[in-house]
Parts: sequence; C-alpha cells; structure tokens
Amino acid sequence: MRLLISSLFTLNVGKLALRSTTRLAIFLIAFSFFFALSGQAVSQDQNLQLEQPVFNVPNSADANLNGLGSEKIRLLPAASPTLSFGRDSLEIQSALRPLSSKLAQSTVVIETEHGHKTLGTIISSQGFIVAKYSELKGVEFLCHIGGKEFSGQSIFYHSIHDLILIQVDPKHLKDTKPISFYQNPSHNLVGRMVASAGTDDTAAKIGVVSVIPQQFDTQQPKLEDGIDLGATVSPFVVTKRTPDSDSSQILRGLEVQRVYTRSVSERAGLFVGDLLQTVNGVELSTWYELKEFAKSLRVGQKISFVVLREGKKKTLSTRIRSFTPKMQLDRWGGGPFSDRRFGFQRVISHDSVIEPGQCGGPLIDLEGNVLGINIARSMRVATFAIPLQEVEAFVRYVKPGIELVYDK
Amino acid sequence: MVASDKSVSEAISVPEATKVPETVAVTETESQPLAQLLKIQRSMDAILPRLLPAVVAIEGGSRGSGVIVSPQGHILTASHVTKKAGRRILVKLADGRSVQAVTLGTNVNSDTAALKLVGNGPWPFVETGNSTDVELGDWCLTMGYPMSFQRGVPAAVRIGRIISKSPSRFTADSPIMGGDSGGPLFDLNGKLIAISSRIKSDISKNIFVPIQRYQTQWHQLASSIDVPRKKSSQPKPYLGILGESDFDIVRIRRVYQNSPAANAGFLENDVIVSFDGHMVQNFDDVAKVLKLRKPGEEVIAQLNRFGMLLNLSVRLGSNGGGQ
Repeated sequence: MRLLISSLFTLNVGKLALRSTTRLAIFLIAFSFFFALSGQAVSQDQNLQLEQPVFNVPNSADANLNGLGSEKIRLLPAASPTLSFGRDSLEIQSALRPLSSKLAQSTVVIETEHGHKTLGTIISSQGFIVAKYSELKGVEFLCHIGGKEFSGQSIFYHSIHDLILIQVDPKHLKDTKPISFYQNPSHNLVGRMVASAGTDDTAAKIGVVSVIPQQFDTQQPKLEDGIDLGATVSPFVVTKRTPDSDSSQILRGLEVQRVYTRSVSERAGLFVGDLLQTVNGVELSTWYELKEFAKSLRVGQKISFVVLREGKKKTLSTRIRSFTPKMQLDRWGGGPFSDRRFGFQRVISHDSVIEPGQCGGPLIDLEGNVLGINIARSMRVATFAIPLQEVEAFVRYVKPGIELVYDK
Repeated sequence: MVASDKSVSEAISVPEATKVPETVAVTETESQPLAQLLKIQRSMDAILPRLLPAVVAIEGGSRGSGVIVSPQGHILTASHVTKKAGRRILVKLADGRSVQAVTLGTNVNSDTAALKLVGNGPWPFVETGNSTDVELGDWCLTMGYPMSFQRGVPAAVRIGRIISKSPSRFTADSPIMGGDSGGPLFDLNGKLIAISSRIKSDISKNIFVPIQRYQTQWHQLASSIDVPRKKSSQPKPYLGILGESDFDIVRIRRVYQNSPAANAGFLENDVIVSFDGHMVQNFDDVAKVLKLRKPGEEVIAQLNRFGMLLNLSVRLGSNGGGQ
C-alpha cells in the first residue's frame, strides 16, 4: 500500500459484522496536497457521446420551485475582513439573540455539590424544573437564574429518559417564563432549524433536526460513577531514592504502575514510574482514595496531576474529554460527548454542537416553539433531545395535577 | 458538455439578478436578522421533500451514501465506497426499496465514483448545480446515512456553511461522519454542489468534493474506467502508519505490514509523543514533520505505550517516484 499517513479519515464504515474497532474499515487518503494536484491528471475531454446526459440542466421554471429563485441567502454584508463563515459565528449568534433571550427566560443553571454545572428547563411556575438526571445524581442542588441563587430538591427521576424533576420555591421563578407545551401538529420536524441554550449567557447554538424522532439501538459501555482515570497506582505511598547517590533524596508518592490506552491518564501524559503527589491539588495517600476521588470528576472538567519524575516535580493537566473507554462512533471526533448518551427510548436527533454541560435546556425552533429538552451530546453528527410530549408525559406521571402552559 | 455550459451562463446571470434584493436584505438585517434565518427555513421546507427521495444508502463492501442524479438511475458517490468498477452492490432507497446497482468508474485521486441502478426507472433524482458558483459563507445541506442511523428511510439532514473552498474541495461545517461518504451536499436552491468525502477531527472541517470534479471526469466514470492512484514524480518519505488525532494526542491506529514503521517496532494504539524532535498534537503535525525529511533518512520517534516512553528509530521508506 502506498498510503501515506494523514489525519484525514475517509468516511466509509466497515461491514457491520466487524466487531473489533481496529478492523473497522477506515481507509486513509493521503496528504491533502495530493488532492490539489490530482485534478490535472484527469482528461478534459468534453466531447461526451454518452447514452444520456446525466447532468441535467434545470430549466427556469425548476429554478423557481422553491419560491426563492436563485437568490442566495446571506446574513452578512461582507463588512468585516476577519469574518468567520461558520454557522456558529458571531453574526449568526447575534441573529439568534431574540431566541437566546427567550431561552434564557426558561433556562436555569443547576450546580451539584461538586460544583458541576448543567442546564435545567422551567416547566411550571409552581416551581418545577426538568433536567438531565445523569449529569446531576443527587438530592439537593444550587440553581442560578438571572443572578439569583436558590436551592432545589430532586423529587423524581426516570432512568430511561434520563430526566429528573426538581422542585424549587416558586417565589424564585417570578421573573421567569415556563416553557409552553403547545405543539403545532402540522409541523414537520425533519429539516426544522433549531436553537439550543448555552450556559453563562453564551449565545444559542444553531442546528437542524436530522431525522424523524426515533430510537437509536446503539449500546454504550456501562457507566460507572465518575471517570475511570485509566491508571493503576501502588496501593500505598511508596518511598524511593533518587538514582544518583551523592544527593540522595527521598521521594514519596503513589507510584504509577500502568497507564491504559485511551484514558485520561494517558492523555495527561502520566508515565509508569511517576510518583503521584496530588490530583487537582488534593493529596492522596492510597489507591482507594484516588478511586474515590475520581468519582467526583466529570466530563468537561480540567484535571491536573502533580508527579515526581526523576526527582523533579512536574504538573500534567488535561481536560476530561469523554467517558472512557471510547466508542467506535468516537473515531470521527466531534466531542466532548455526554457520559450518558444512548439508551433513550425515542429522541429528536439534531446536528447542533453543544457542550455536555448544556444538556437539560430547551430545544426551540426559529419561531420559538419548544420541541423538546436536550438530553445528550451523542455523536459527531448528533445531539439528542427528548420530545416534548414525552417530557409532558413524564411530568404528568410524577405530578398529575401540575399546571403546565399551552400558549401558542 | 452542453449541460455545464448552460448552467454556467445561467450562473453568470444569477449575481446580477440578486444584487438588488441583497442590498435590501442588508438594511433589513440590521433590524431583523432572524428573518434571514427564517428565510433559510422556508427554502429548506420547500426543497427537502424533493431531495430526500434521491439520497440513497450504499451497502456491500463498505457502507456509504450516494445520490441519484438522473431519471435513468445514475448515482454519484465516493470512490472509497464503491472501490472499483463492475461490482454488483445493493442500494437502499429512502422509500425502503433495495435495488441492485453496478459500480461505474472510480478515481481514487479525487475520491469520485459513480454507480448505475439496475432496472427501469424513472428513479427520483436531484439536479446538479454549478460548484464554481459557490461562495464562502453560503449555506448548505448535507444528507446521508451516518453510522447508527437507520437505512432504508429518508437520510439524516444536516446544515452548515461553506467555510473554505478550492477547485478540489469544499470545507463546510455541516457535520458528517462514517457512513456519510458519498452523500450529497446541496445549496439552498436544492442543487447538488458536492459529495461528502472525508473529515478532519475538528468538527467544523468536513470535506466535500465539488460536483464539477464529477462533471469533468464524467466520461471516465460513465465508461467504467478505474483511474489508479497517481504516482508523484518526487519520491515522498513513507512511514506506513494510519493515525488518529485523539483529542490533542496522536494515536497509531494501524501499522502496515513490512512498512518502515512496522520494522522499527511501532504498534497499534501507541501514542506518538514527539516525532523527529517535534512535539506533535495531531496527525497533521506528523505529516508536516515527515514532509521535511527525505526517504532513507533516520528519524527518532518517541512513543507512549501503556505509560512507557519508548524511543524508536525509524528509517523512512519511499513512496512514489522511482520504485
């Protein structure tokens, strides 16, 4: 094979039957410059004597089929030279501002006792909020909205939908607006442009609903509490001496004995033989303590290890990008992804790129209709949302008498 | 190619016609930019029902996507999906039908290929646009069947904008992944402007082959000619690994047999910490460093294997040129 290395992955998927990740048929195309050259090789023979023309010319009537003619839709006058053209660029975000402010009225930031933040959706002015259960897992939370802070209690969760219902004192929700459960029955969801709330006043992210709501039968590795650090350390603190006997120094720490592939520890750059001093500033004296400490870690957080390597102190840090082990689907990048990201019953799949911590907030279309609640960042091409009717069914099941809004 | 001539002349008339409404749109933008997005929504609502029936899933060998471009059943896709001409493979239409197809020509250099459905049409098809007319910032729609999405149902839709372009490729931020290869990229008028090819690990960098490539190569594609990989005149240094940019580290996914890397002792799943003295953070870095060297030279690679730091020396092979 004459293939050179490259970071460009081509996109075909191997036979479904292939189970091992390494056998997945991903073929590599050589350097990108290779492509730039290749055009000249092709014959420019235009004298086509084919049975039929394949590249049909649209007639003028066709061109107007969509009612827009050939007018290009542009949001930007090309004013700024440093313009970013992306769909999440600044001018798109400012175009979405009316929607962002609408989203902000019914979105709360929920914080766990570990300081982990995620979003919640206000569903009733009686003091009820729905959020993503696996991001929270607790009883008592701190809620933030519009600069106010108040506490909320978990009252029920549903592990298949991964939804949690949180109750707060209704007096804190005075200036907010619960989402409307009204659904336009004539709306075709596929191709509907959507916006999702961001945390900390970051503007909404745009996307489009990809397919009709469906169940994805993808299995994901079993979730444990917290993050698997992916390193084996000595059970207790070990004592070592520096190799050179003149300035023999005594070194202490948990000794790294093995580092697993695709783990947080590997990414941070831990090596076998390092003496672990602290993790995120916390001194740990046994393997068990380290394991317990890992339970408080979440996807998206920063983690820093201080180690002694050859007698010198070194700080190694990385961001926890995803729950380990990685899945085949992650081969195409696009993370970080949510810890819990598959196994829902029926979800709306859209292509907005949100952070795992931005799940739990409402998903709205451009007219401001709520379509569902974002439940997981799942794949490079997909963010999942629980459809509004399932959210409604969940809430009605837990609190049959709850007052919900059905404004158009 | 008469067809493309006509579309060129039409394209020339397009900017003239749009000049007036566009200036109006700009003033409108200041007060109500959201209205512009709603306009995109309306045009999407109008074109999607026409486009989705023509987007197909390609089975057999490797799973990809494709798009029908003629009522006779010609399908455009990527060459790494069909592999070579003359194969019989199965195509799943959006309405659930499974139809036999014969692969036509391929060109690995540009990742272009075509197929023809067996049986009488008419088949649902889409119109091809003029890819030279595409501008930066244009909105576009991608469709296809990514891994884990159902096949035999309408394809998954994604939206984005063209963020860079050249005659050989468009980069857009409408995300694609495995299984999307060969799927279509449309403009907002519902015209086919490019075909999905490959990605970079950055989610906004999804690479598409402009439709013009298919138009200029159509003679070869339709005559079932497989254009082999072009040998470059200059021998290039060759390492023999397939890598993966795993967030900000570089991991080896495959080591080819008898390659310089295999002889040096590289293993799958090793992480390349540094290459030829340069710290590397993604696979492009390795490729860049490799380009600076010549075949036959020796390079030191630092690998992280299960937490062990290894220094391996590898003698680069050569690719293309004389051999």
